[in-house]
Amino acid sequence: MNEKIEKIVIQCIKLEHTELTYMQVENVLKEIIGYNLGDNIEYYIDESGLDGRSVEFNLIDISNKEYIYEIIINKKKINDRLNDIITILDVNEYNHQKIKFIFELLYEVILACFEYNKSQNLLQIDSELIEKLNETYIEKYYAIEKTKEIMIKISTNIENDTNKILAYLEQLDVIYEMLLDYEGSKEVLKNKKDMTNMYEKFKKNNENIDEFLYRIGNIVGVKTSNIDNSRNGSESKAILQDLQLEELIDYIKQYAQISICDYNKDLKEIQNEAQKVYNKVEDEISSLLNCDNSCDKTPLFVENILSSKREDLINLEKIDPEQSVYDYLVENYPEVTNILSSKMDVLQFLDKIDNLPTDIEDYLKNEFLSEYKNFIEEIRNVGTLKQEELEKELNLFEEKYTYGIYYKYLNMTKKEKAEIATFADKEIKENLILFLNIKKELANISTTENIPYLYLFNYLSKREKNILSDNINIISILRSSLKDTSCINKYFNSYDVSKAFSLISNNEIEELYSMQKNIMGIFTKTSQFIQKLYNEDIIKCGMSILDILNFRDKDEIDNLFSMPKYINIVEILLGIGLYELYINRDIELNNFKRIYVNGCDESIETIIQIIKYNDLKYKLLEYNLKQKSALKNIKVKIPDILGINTVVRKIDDYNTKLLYINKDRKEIQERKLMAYKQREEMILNKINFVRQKNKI
Amino acid sequence: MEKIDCNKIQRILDIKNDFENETINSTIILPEYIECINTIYDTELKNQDEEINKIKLNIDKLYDNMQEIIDKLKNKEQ
Repeated sequence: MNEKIEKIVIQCIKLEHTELTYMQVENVLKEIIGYNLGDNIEYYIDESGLDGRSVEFNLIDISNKEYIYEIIINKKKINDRLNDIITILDVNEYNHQKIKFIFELLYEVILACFEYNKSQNLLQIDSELIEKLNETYIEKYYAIEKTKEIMIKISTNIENDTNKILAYLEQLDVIYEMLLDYEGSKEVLKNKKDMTNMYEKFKKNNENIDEFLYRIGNIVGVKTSNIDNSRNGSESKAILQDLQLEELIDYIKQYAQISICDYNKDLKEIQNEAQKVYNKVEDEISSLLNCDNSCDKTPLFVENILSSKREDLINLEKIDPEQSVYDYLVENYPEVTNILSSKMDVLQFLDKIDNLPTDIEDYLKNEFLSEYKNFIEEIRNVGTLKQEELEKELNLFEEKYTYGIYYKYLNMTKKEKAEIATFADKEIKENLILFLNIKKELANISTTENIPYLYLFNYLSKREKNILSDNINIISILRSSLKDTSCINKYFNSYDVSKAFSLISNNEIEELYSMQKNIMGIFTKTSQFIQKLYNEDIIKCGMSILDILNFRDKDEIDNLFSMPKYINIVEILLGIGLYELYINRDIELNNFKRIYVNGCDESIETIIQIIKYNDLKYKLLEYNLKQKSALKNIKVKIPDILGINTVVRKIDDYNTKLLYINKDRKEIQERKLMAYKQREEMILNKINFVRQKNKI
Repeated sequence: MEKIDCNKIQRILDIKNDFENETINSTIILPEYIECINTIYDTELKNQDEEINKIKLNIDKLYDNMQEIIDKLKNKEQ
């Protein structure tokens, strides 16, 4: 507030549009604030102001501020002031731009004054201003918008003073009429909250109820007369006065609904659409619940359906986004949510455990862990889960989460990754836990199918991992996979498997090493796979190798590099190197070496040679941008979690870098083009010369 | 279908021009404009590539042509 008092800055006055001189503007401002300010006003003309664009005014004398506000509030009426200003401007007829400019100044000052002194007189000034606006009928839309701003300020600051509320309602009357005239009832209804808020305040004082009813009735009456010709304003008033206060609010609400349907065709259509979707969801759920063996459908499945439908509904803007699917289920399908609620309770409680003393924590952990286990048991006891149903479920899960999680995760900093564990998107975590446990069921059917999903495991907090480890043994899955040669052939060439490897701990890796000496075999197969895919998706493959390299020793890496066609792998690493380097905004080769400290010198030198002879970095950058653009889309599709905004900011940095690169490329291309053209011309000249000379 | 804003396109082209002439730098260009300019660059580079390829082909033909002339001259001499 002090800042506001010290500096009422009125800016962006478009002098070129108002055709006012600086002197006129200064005079107008002085006129608004008071006659005797003298040197207390200072105005600045910034650089753009030199060519007549904008000017800033600043009240510089702090000691006079109270005086200034008193002048504005009490001494002069706005109407008088307007006339004075118009005289100063020497305007014989109303000029839209000039009047708009004056209002701009007036509103700025009034708003600043209001914050300084919440005087009731402001209501009066505001009211006069509104009347003036109505009278001049100039820039009405603008005036209404500004008036609304003032009204909002006033309504949020108004105290529980009956007279003030009544004064406010009186103005509402005027404004609503203006709005009705200008925008129709749709916009008016957006302000219906004003009335109900006022009513709540009014009820507390319990005074002048009749007056209140009269005002409200008047407002509603104006609107109802627009809806239904048979019911005019006075009838409405009579009706309202007969109503009980509680009924009045219902009436207003009911009116709002009718009005939306009747007065806005689009809204009506949306409502119908929404209703259809609602009905469809209802039918689907009912059919799920009433099918012969409801156990075939798990809660997650139902929840997923609801989630996807909910998105449709939200898109149609007819469902409250605050209402969670869970709430919806609880409200409508208690039988489905029995299981969910126990899960939610346990998880919520576990979240709080961090703050408890260790011994109590342990006790509770055990207590609730057992409850959690029961929940898992319940899921498992669903029993007749058919494989295809489960897979359908998994597909749903994948569609909804995997894509988003995967890309988000790739682009997060270490800090952000760490924060996920504590911050977390609960919905994702809960589903993940549920999902991984269901995967356990799948493990009995097809062990290797599990592996591609293991990277999701990294999304869980340590506590959650511990909980899960009782139910799902990742190592055992990996171990069984490694034992099975055909499985390795089939799956261990895949990126997902490598990713899964990168997410298990070093100890787990050691365990796998000791168990199985087939790691190099996996490398070989992975590298072949990478070479095959190299042209299709360089980053993806490169990341895969990088993941592996992260936990391999030097000998193994040397072996890897010594494989036939290793140059391709190096090239891929180069790609990843650039990828990482761009992220870190660090393109020095020394750092590049540092990142690949495990790589042998020869390989690094090869990398450096390659970078000089191809445009890999451009390809990479382009890929990088594509990947990040996908993130922008994700941002709107699933709830934002930490990191996305940072990444999106980075996109801008990358785009800027690309801009310079593109500029360089274009210049090089142009030179190339010129050189080719010259060559073409030279050859042509030569041919013509020979032809002429020899008469061919 | 989204309406094409000619003024906006012209503005982007002007900015691109200023950027190329180094009368402005990237710090004062709006991110969305930078994206647009990059897209324009993509198209330009692609077009340039096509043009270069065409000239290359033409040069090849001219070489063939020249070879023919040389052959004719040789025959004539004989």
